[in-house]
Amino acid sequence: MEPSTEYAAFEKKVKKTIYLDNLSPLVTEAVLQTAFNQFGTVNNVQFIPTHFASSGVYAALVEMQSVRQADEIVREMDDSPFMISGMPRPVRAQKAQIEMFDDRPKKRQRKIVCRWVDPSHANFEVAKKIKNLTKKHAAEASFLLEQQLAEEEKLHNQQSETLKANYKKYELIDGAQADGTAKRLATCYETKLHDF
Amino acid sequence: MSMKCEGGLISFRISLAAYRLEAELSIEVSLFSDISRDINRTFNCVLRFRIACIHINFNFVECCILYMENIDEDLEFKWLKKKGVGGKNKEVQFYESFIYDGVKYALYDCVYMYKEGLQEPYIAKLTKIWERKGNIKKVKVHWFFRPEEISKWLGNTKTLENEILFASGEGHGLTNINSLESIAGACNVVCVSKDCRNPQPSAEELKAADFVFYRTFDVQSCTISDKMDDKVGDLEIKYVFNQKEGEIPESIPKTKEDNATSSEPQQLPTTIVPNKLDDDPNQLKRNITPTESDKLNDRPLKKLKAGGKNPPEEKHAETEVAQESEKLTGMPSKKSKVDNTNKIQVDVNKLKGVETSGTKSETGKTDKANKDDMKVSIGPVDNKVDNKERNKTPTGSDRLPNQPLKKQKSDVKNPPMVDNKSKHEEKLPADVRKLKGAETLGTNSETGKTDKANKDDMKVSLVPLNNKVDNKEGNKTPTGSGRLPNQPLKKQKSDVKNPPMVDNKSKHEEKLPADVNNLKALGTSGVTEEKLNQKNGKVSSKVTDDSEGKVIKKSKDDGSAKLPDNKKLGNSGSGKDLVANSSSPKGKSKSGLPLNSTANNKESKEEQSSENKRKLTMNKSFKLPASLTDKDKKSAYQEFVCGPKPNDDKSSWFRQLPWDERLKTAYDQGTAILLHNVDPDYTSAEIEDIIWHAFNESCGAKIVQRTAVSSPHYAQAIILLKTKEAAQKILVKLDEECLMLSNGRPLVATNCPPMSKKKNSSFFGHLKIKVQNQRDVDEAVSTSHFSQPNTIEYDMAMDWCLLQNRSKKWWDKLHKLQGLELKNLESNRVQK
Repeated sequence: MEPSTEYAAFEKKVKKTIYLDNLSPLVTEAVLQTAFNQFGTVNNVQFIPTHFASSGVYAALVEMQSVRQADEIVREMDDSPFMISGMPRPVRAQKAQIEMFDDRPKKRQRKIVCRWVDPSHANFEVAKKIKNLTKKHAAEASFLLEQQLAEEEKLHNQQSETLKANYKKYELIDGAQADGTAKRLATCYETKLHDF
Repeated sequence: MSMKCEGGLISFRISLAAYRLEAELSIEVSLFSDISRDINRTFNCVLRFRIACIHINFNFVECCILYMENIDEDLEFKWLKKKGVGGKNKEVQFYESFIYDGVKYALYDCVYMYKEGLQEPYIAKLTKIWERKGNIKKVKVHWFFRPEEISKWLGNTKTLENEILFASGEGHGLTNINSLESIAGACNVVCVSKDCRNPQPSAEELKAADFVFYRTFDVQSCTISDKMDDKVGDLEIKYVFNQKEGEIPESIPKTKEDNATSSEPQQLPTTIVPNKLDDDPNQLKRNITPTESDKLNDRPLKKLKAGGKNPPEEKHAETEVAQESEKLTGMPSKKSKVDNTNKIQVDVNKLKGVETSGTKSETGKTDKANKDDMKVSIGPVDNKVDNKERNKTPTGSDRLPNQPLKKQKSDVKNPPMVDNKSKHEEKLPADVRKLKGAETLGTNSETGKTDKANKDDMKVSLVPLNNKVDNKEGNKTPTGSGRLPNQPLKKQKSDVKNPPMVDNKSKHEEKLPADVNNLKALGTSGVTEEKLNQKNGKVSSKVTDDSEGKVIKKSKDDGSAKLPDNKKLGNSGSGKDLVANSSSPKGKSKSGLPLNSTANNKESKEEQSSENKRKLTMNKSFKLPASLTDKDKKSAYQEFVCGPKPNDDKSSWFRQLPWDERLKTAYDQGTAILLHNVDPDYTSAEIEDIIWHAFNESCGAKIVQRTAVSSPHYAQAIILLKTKEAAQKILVKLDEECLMLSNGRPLVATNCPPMSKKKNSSFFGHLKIKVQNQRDVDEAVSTSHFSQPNTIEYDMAMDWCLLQNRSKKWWDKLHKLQGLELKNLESNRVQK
């Protein structure tokens, strides 16, 4: 295939693909296939590997059969929370970007020109600063990611607490009905007890 | 069996159980045939295929199969031109060409040799092709080295993009005998040597070349040279250079070839070769026994002859050698004689070519003359040895029996050795020259020798440095073993080495011309000789002790003594060889070596520089035609274009392991690096190209795929290097210096952060929601669904959506800020 046509084909594929994150690590290709076959036909599923512990993002690329299907899914998932393999944390979807792909072809026959910068050159210092900045940014990003994880954990714990409290209430009510307490109370207060 | 088809490859997963492999998952040859059988059975037809890569997991075998198509079996392999018959009972048939897998191969063609588990195939030149009884097809190959294979010894030597180096010298790694089936494909290798004997390649040929070469890598001394004598290893120079169209390879030295053929059969009968070769998996190991056996075959013969003709002392040596040779090779003495004569003729030819004046007379001489030459060379060597002791070792090999004695004696008795020289002179003009040169220059002559000479030098160096030799013997063993002085040492090291001695002699003769040149170049060294002698004396005493003791301890002692010697030698010019030798041993060198090598290296570099200068100039000129690569000689800070890595596609022959596993291995070995500030546009292949061009290291690269939280400003990439050293080098270099990518991004490298321990990591946000109705919950967990607004789940999901949106805001803001910071800095640069 010519590089240009190959790249065009690739771009088309990108348009048909949605990017999903907030995925559980337990989600498998089969799960995603089933999940999105509800909206159309899944052509291909590809997980974005997480090589490093710090990246902590579980994401996947799902290629649909048509651009329309992909657009539709992104819109719907934006409207209402979509659960895959668990709840209540919804999966988030957006259109895929070229850089998300691992096997992208070369855009065109371009020349990459590199150079070692002369240490005596003025730009060397700037380059050094940029290098440091890059490292700083990477550190910032990983810090933010940590913070995000902490927030997620917080929300998770909070929700699970709330749930527990709610369950406790439910159980209390259920218990009251089950052991006749509710009935006794009803007679006590001379009210009529409705089943529900 | 599951099957997957991608590209031209079909990969299979086969349950391992089918092959009754034990818990230990070694790849066995039988496995391949089993797999092929099963595949054929599965498809119910005869398929032509080759298993290109096999990867064994715990539960299955994954193999890729190339070129699957129906064929009748005849097409797969066909002999073409017969050459001769050899072997004890004429059971060995030699061939000149054959068709394999639809490709025609001929003698002296270059081929890829594949080995399982290796990413890139070896490259080699076919030097012999034969078939043994039972349809066993073998080829003898002379190896090329890729620069990355010998990067350790290349140092700062620049290599062309697609340059490979031809193995020279003798020892492990020069040649191997492999089964013909291990040929993976034809490889177009063009010799760009400016040597006048080399038919210069046309521009088109250069363009079509997969690889080019003009230098040799001495497997013994691990030195690089762009000079080739009449023989490289045991291969005639004309087969090393490009073949002229229509030239009939056999034309000139039919005798040689005949001889060669005769000698080949010898090799075959010697059971050594087949045995070693038979373990197919190991075949490709270059260093393996087969090479030794080859050497043995050639060498013992020479020794025998030399010995026979030589005085009684030599006889002793001969007997010893013969015994050893018999043990080793089991070759008949007659054959050995024949070989010797043949070799001698060759030598004569060489001499003619080399030595303009005296050589002719020598050439006119018959085999005896040759023998004389042999002797002469030996004699001078001995003399030299006495003087320098270095020489002795090499020459000594012929005189092996004498050597130990001589060495002891020689150390004391240097004068007698001189007498030997005089005799030699009488006998051989050429030798005389050599001697003269050698004598005048003393050690220099020896030192001056080129890579081929190196062997001699090796010997020479060995002699004075016997102890050192011992240390180095690991490398030298092949050559040194033959040499008497070394012998005790050699014995310690290995009996096998004896045969090489013969080679040394032959080499000496060959080398002589080169030596002469070297001598000229080197110039003065009388003082060094004296020093050497003194040293020699010291060394010799030690040596003798050592020889007597034959203990390893000697080597240590020697090592200490050696250091000074090496230095001196280095000064004289031999230092190079020594250095090379010391450094060359592939991990085999004993304790003494490192010191020597370092000292020697420095000196050798300096000394070499003079000799090398012309080489270098030559090199430059060579490089230009091959391909004007940017990185080549432009100043360090000039731009270079990172075009596709040469021969990149070749690696597709060999499917690589899954990336995850490679990464894991690399991570464990510390060869994984994370690159930052990569242009998001770059593809993984382009990263590989950049690394290759910038560091001359090949690597596996993978862009870290962007996620929603990745910075839009730059991408990251993981690269996996081959060695930890390379990884460290890149880390340091990128840290201290600055590699500017095309759009003004300086590349940044860091160690990889800790790996994720897949699956174990916790995931927040999935709760067991036992809502109103238990049934709903179960369904909800197992399916994917939109949550309905009237549930708890929905409420909680809203919380998550909120968090997701917040986090999106964080990231956007962070990236925006970072972008601003970057812009500020970059604007600085532009202004300046």
